[in-house]
Amino acid sequence: MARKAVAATLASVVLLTVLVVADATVMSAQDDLASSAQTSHLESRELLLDVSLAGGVSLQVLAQVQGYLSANPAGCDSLPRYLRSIVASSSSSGEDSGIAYEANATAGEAPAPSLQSTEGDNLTTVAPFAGGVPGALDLRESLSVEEVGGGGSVSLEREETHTLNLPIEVDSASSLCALALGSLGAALSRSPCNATLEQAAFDSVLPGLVADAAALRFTLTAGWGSGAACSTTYWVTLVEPGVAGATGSFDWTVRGFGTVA
Amino acid sequence: MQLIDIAVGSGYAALCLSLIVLMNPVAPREAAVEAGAQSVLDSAISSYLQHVGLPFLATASDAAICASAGGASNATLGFDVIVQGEGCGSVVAPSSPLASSSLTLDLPSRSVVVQAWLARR
Repeated sequence: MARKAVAATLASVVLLTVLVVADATVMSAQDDLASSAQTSHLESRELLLDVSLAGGVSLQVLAQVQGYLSANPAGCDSLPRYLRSIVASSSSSGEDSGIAYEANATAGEAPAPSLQSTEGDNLTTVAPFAGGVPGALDLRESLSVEEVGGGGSVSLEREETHTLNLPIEVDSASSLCALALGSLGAALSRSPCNATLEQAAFDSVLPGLVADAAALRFTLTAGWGSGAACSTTYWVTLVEPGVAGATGSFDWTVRGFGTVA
Repeated sequence: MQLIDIAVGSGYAALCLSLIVLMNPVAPREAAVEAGAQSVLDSAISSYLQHVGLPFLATASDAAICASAGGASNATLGFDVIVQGEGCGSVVAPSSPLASSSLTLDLPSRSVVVQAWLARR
């Protein structure tokens, strides 16, 4: 009887030990699975943050440039300088789901703005403002994103250069400036010191210029006035209305003037 | 002597059973399932953002944004987009989803929160 009891006790001990070991093994495997899943979740969250941060700071940069274009008319004679003066930057930092992040973007006019064909860019979250467009304002953006999560175990870092665009018609504005100022100057210089003839010459040229501008989606207004010693001053204003910008439509204005001595 | 045997055996049995109860593999398994579901949701939000684009979320009307959220939803995956604190009234998240995730976007003209959830089957 005593032997049976000892045997039963030993069998129970062995059985319980096996159960505990098996449970510990399963627990360990499940812990590993949970750890892998957590790491995978951190990685997917970092990728999501990367997409939103890169797009967010780029959109902020585009909004700044759009605000500058909207508030500051360009000059016909200083269009290249005007475009070169465009600089915008944006940054974002904080923490999301245990991931510390920081993103920075700086943009200026792209070095080769006159493209022959559309240049693609993989910053798809800001489409259609990603990539370069022939004749439009192309921007070169330096973008950096840094993220650290899981106590430093999962990190993401990237530094890239992207091309963005705002669809103002730079080339069209430039050619319309040259055409309008040249035509008005030539018309007004034919009859110096005769306001009646000058007005007639001006009126004969203006409708054609307005039509040319309209064909390129610009509105054109122009005027002239007599100065001292028979000199004549004339001016032209080109407005590209309703440009579809990154934060809504806006008007872009270009102004030019000339003098006939 | 017998009493000692019984006490030791019972004690060992109690210890083993306690360990088995404590090392419950269900909890980490559920954590793994939830983390996996969160990954699915984060990927879904990322795909949605790349599909509609941030300029759309920055400028479109509430109705257009809600239509895009509805278009991205299906039987198990739901989306809601909250613009300036106003969500899509037609979209109702389940009371106890399998998992949910959200992302806040500080866009130039507005704050947008994209929410996604996985419904239990």
